[in-house]
Amino acid sequence: MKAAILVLCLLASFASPAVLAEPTSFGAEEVAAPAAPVAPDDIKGMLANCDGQLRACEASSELCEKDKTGIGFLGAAYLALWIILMAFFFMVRGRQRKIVAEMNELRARLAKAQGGL
Amino acid sequence: MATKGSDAVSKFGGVRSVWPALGLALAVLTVAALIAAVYLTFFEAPREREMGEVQRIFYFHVSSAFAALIGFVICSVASLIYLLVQPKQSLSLIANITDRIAQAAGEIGVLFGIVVLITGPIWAKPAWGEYWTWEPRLVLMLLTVFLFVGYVALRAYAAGSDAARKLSAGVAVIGGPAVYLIHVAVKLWGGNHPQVVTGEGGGLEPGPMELTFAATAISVLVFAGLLVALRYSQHKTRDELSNAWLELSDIEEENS
Repeated sequence: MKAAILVLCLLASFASPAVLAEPTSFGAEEVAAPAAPVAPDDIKGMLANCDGQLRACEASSELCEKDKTGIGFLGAAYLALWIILMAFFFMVRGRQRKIVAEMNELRARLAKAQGGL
Repeated sequence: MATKGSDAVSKFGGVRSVWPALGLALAVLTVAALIAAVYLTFFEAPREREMGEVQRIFYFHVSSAFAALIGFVICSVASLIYLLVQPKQSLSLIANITDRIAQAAGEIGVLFGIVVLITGPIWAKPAWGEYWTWEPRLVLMLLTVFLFVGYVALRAYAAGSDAARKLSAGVAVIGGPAVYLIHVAVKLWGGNHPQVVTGEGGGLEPGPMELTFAATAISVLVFAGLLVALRYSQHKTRDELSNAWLELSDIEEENS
């Protein structure tokens, strides 16, 4: 049954207009280079510097806008991660305690049984 | 019979914990490495240029995926060995060891699989605009985790039965190839899952990003290995306790 579902899902993924994976990369945010010095009468150079600074500001504010929602998701993901790991840790610790308690009980019963010999 | 009883007393009387001192030291070191990885993730790794802060989920999400898939592979291989050696009486020790390794690795694989399936959609929402897409890699990962949840449940509720051991080992063997399919899913069938680590893209930017990912992956894998060792040790003690209870009932029967 599971195999049939798997095959169906694979067929569905063939049929659907899946977005093909692009070669991806993760890179650090680029820090805008300081504007090149221009001569006081170089109007074109000054305008180019202004354009550059404007583009950098736009990119930076776009990223800040993304971070407004992103930070919440980031916090939720790491919270979930640590809750799951802690839950598992406490479950394992509980089992450990049960094993130790069982060992103690076994030891006591064995000592009693040997005393009866 | 008294000798038998004495053996059991000395065995369980001397064991205070299934955690030896070395294990405890390793655990402390691993926790320190995890804390260092968290520090690198939040304070050393730079903000990503396209996604911003949310990309920091990547470091633990992918490391957890590695741990889950390696856990599933170990479970599958150990189960296969168990099925092969289990009929031979002379190899019963190997059968017991591989069976416990499979059980421990399966449990830890499921643990990290759940981490991947929860952190992935939380990352997908801001990155792709929706929590879940039915792309092959996600579907395969979901089904593989379900398969191993079934394996772990079967082992947990029918621990003493040989038939259940064999059946669950068979389930784990079937789950092994799924790991390979997850690995190649994006390349073969497409999907919008990034292939930053294994793909042919630009990868991670060298420097703090690569360093952070390496540190996180190593610390998560060592942590997973330690959890497997702990669970293995608990399963072993549990088996020995079961045998000791049987011995005790023999002794008590003879006394009465």
